Amino acid sequence: MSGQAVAGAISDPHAQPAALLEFGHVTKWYGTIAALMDVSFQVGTEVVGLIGKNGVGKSSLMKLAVGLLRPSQGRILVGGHEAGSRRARAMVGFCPEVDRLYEDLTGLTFVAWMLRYHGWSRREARQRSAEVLDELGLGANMHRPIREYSKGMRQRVRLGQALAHRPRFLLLDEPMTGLDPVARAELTRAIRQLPAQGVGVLVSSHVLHELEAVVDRVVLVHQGCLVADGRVAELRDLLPAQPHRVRVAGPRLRELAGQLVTWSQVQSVTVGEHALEVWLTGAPGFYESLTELGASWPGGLQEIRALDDDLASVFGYLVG
Amino acid sequence: MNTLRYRVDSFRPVPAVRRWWPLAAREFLSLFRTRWGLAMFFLCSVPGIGRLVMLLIGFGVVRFGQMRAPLPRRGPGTLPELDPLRVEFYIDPVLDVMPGMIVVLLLSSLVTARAIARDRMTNALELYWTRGISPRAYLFAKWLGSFMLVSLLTVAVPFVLWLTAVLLADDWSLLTETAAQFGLVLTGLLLATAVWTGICILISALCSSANTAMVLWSMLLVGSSALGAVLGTLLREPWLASSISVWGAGAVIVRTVAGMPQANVYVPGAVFVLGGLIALLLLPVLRRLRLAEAIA
Repeated sequence: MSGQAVAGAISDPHAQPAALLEFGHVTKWYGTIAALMDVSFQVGTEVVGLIGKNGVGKSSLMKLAVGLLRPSQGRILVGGHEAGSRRARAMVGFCPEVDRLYEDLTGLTFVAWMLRYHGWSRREARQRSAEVLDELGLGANMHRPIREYSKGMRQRVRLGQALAHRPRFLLLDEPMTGLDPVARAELTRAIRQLPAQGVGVLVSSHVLHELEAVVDRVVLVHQGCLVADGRVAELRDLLPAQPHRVRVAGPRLRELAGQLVTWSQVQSVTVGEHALEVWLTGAPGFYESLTELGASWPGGLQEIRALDDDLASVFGYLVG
Repeated sequence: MNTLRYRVDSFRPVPAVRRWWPLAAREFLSLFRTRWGLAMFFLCSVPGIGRLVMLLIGFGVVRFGQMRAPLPRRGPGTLPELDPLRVEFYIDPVLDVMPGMIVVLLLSSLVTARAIARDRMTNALELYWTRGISPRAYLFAKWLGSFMLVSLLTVAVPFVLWLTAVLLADDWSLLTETAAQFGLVLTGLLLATAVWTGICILISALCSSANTAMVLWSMLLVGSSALGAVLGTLLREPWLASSISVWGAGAVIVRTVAGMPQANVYVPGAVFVLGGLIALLLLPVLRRLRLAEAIA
């Protein structure tokens, strides 16, 4: 954007604040019901996943971050500015889950109007809207009315209006909804590019395996409390009570099982038709030992795969 | 999807008007975006067009055989609302129930009453409030856009008709004799339109659906007129008709501002009804728009 446009973030776009989004001991009450209790976390120039079951406070957290709600206690800063202040709002791009589009407008007009509410001139707004919609793959359809769009195209318009004013921080609520697999992969790739441009992203999704492909770390909210914050692998290692499960495939399974049960990390082994399922008390050292064994095993090992190190498993272990 | 050519932009403050004016302009233009809207606007313009034709015939620009009436030489018995040399000719069609109220009711129901209720229905309010627009600015911009649109018919049309008459008249006497009063008339019309659209936009802000807002606004405008007429007749207090009616109270204010003679009216009552209604609606609207919650 040249000249007049208002968007983005703080005075110097290259100045890196300590955290782009900072929740400091935030509590939110609705009457006598606590939606969030003493939640603290930070998001820098990275992609962070917000996960939790329905009704645990994810929406409230998003609304607080975008400035639509005020915390009952605590403080929320966006790029060092109070959430909801004009500077903070200019820094944030919000992609809501619910369809909030005007059916009679074209995709281009809708995004351009949204940009104008940030103070962009008509010419700049149209130019930037066309650019962002083109980048999101809507170039050929941006002049069609939104009512004629598919779910995936509507999702791109929503994403376009969040990105158009070049915000420094993006809040994406279920951004994958309605996208076909190819578009999901492309969107994942696009989101992954953003931290390199100095942009922080907080993304929520119910599809945990897709979220896992996008995020650097996750923030898990349950019953209004933040129960976990970190990389998926780190979180998994913090759950010693939950045995790791590993699938091992190769020849001579019974003989292999006999060897593995003697290892200290192995709790039990289940022999299947084509593979073993190994239950571990702890992962450290196991994979190295198994790789060494595989190198000398007659016929070699065909598959070594962790079955519960993914986000869905961690989520399940943490919130039951 | 192509590669995102993304870069973060720096924050440069702009005047608030540059952020809310596009919203007001969008509201103003909303009716003109569709053929159906254009047709509705044309329909609402028919009374004004009719008056224009009367003017053109009256001043001899258009001749239909013997229909030309030499207006400047009309006798004292001519009805003021049919005499282009009198201010009443230009404002009575706007202030009368038929066609004035019907036109305003139609236009405001289609645009003003839907303005905020539709955004609430589609959950678009949150999207606006994550922009550079505060809830108060949003409410103001929505009202301003609707006000400008309705004013086209309630203010601009009488003004254009009067200006046409001034230019068509044989001399400048119409201008010299009515300019001052017509200025006051336009001020009164602007004020009344602002109040009518203000009440309508507040109803829109209170309702959860556009249809509910349209029905409530129609009921208020027509119902209060009917109630005023009935009570005025039953209680033998004719001033009640113009004081209770939202439409009539607006007309009273216009005529008072313009210094026109009025019978059976009670000006403080009209002001109290309109002012009270706005105050009554404003408080729940401020809560409903969560102005206290959203950080302006």
